[in-house]
Amino acid sequence: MAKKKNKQHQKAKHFKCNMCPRRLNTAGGLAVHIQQVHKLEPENLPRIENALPGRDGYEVEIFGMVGIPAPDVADYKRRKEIELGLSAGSISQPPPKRPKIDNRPLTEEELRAQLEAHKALMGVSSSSGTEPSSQGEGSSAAVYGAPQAYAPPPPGIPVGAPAPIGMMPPPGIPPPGFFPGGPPPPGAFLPPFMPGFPPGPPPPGFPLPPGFPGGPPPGGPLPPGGLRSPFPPPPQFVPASVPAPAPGQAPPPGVGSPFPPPLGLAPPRAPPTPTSQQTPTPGPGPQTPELPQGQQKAEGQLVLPNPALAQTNPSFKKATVLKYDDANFSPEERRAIHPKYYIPKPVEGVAADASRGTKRKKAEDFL
Amino acid sequence: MSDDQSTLTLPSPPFDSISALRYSPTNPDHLLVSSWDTSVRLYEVGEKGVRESEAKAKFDHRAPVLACTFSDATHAFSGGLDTSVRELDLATENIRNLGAHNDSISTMAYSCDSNVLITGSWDRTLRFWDSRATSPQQSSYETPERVYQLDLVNNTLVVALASRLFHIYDIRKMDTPAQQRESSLKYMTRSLACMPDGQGYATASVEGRIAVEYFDPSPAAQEKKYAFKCHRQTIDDVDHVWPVNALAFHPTYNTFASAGSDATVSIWDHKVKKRLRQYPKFSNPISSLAFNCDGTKLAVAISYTWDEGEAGLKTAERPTVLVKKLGDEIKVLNAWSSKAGLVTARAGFEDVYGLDDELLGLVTQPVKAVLLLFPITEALETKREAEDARLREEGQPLLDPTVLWIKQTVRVAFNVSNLTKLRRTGAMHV
Repeated sequence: MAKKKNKQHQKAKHFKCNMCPRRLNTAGGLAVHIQQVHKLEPENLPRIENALPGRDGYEVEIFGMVGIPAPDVADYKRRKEIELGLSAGSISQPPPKRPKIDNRPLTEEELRAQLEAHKALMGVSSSSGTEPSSQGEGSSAAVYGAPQAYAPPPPGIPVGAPAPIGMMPPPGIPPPGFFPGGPPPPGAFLPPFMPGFPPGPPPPGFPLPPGFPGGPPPGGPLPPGGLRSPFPPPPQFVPASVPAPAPGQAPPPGVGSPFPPPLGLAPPRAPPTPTSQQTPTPGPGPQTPELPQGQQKAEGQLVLPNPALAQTNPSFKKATVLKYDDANFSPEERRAIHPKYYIPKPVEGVAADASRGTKRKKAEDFL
Repeated sequence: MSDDQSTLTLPSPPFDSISALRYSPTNPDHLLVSSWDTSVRLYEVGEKGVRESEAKAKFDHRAPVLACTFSDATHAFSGGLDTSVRELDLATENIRNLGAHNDSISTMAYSCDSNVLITGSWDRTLRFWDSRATSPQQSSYETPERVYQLDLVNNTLVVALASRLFHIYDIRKMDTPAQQRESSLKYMTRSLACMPDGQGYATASVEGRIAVEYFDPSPAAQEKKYAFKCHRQTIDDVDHVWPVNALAFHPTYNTFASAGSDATVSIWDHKVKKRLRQYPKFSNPISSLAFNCDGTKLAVAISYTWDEGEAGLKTAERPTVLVKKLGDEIKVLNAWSSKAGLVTARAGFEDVYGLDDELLGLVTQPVKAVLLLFPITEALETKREAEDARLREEGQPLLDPTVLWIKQTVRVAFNVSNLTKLRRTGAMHV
């Protein structure tokens, strides 16, 4: 919805022809319209209305949130940080990635299938484990360390392109220099990537469609804080004797979920017992990695921070209906993990961003 | 309730449950309301028939807000599930982010003496903030459990933690708690309020019970602490017990109000251990209470408190904020005896609710005098005459010489004013 509103705003405020009621989608569209319909020379085009000084030209092609030059995005984030008094980098660094996970724990079969698919993609033989999640860290500075001052991008080179590729490379795809056709054609209508809005690969946790060749890039977005890798530590998980099932194979009936239900309104006093021990896995069977406490928290589970202090309600002498009988978690804590209210906790050091309710400011205020 | 002359309903209340009510420290009509609908609203409470109440300001947040507090007349703070501490400028409606906890902020209080905001969070820390400093977070102190409630009187900070723990701090020496206590209540702590006279605090649990405790660690002071049952109802021989969601002390009379999920509000005098008043039942559970700074009004937040989880949300009605004008019900029971010359600090009257051990245990020791009030019936009269005749014949048996027996018969129909008269004569004899 916000995107749609933004496009409507752009049409109404910026890309409106002031000689006729026509509204265009982009600056380029407006330029062509004025030249062709109103027969104005390209050098006589009126400046774009309601734009910030310096940004009223037709060079930058922005449509909705697509096409904003990377330095501007970085600059905007930096200003926001200062304005909100946040620590440097708390917004302008890669935001904690929060892909939409269907809140279903992966079954072991799916985990194994994903690992196999990933290995196949990496061209690694199934016996040697690789660390899947270490790519894409170093090059991200290219975006976020973009020059502070606004500099119009050199024409023809899509500014946003190289960095976002480095930021989130699907494994197996070589770095940008290896593009067979070189960089994307200059003057492309839409720059291929928007920093911060990359066309995300399917989040981990999605079951693989049968025969899907690549599988989701595992080095891609991690759940908040990167707390839960969809893959267990490889050495533990290389089943030499276990035949890997085909990707996307449905889990055999009766396989219990190795993870507790995602939104644990179950009585928290009963500790989540990994049921994987009882699952009929062939052979010695890889162990389901135990969940450290923080991981459950990240998924909206209530976990006692100090189990030694766990409480139990004393029983009553008389017949009694106690209207709230959880001895360990307050009604507010239980309410906070309900989907209606649940907010993932920020990763340490990354503060929450601006309140969404602050009054809308004038465009000049963003300078 | 709202047709009652002393009660008015605030316009445009929050859309979801109310987490906290806070009155301005200086303006008796400015009320701050934080809510699960992610807003904090400021109201100016009106006067029935004189001026309308109005919503003055609204601050939207990213996530439900669990705590708010005023710092001065025009500034306030808020915190909630998004873990950020925000300063709200009530005049300009600007929001400023001061920093964040690692988990939801559950409670906060502002110390006007030392100009510091104290926040408590489920991340098991207490943090101090100064909004004027360049780095607002001043310090952070770890606690053994999640912080549920905190309240402040002078320099004494009481913190109610999960697992029924209490820490009492001197905010000038925060490194170690001055006292660590376990709750005297056996169930989860639900609410907390400090006495304005700085002597102690009241706390309540999910199991309809309130405890009154004192800071002074000496055995003499600790002996005075007690607990009592409330906010419960017996239906068909089964006790129904509701959480006590809110406690608030009256700023001058030192009495306090309690509110529960049973939709009732009671006013208590903790010195004489008596309920002064129970208001007629409200429509829904009560989540928060606040007295205004001059003690003339009590704000009551009526909204669902998640006792039944999601199921209760389906039937929950839109929250309401009521403001009650207070009458005499709040005043201390002993006011008249104090006028009659009794030093209420040293002696006072208490009601004996019944002769069960538990109820007698509520009576402060030592007892100087007992007033017995009962209607005279024919049977009693006959028995008394027989007893008098026997005493005339046999003489008075040996009694403890310190016991003084006075009998007075009031031959009028019983009503409250006579009861008061009777007490007054009793006082003279004591």
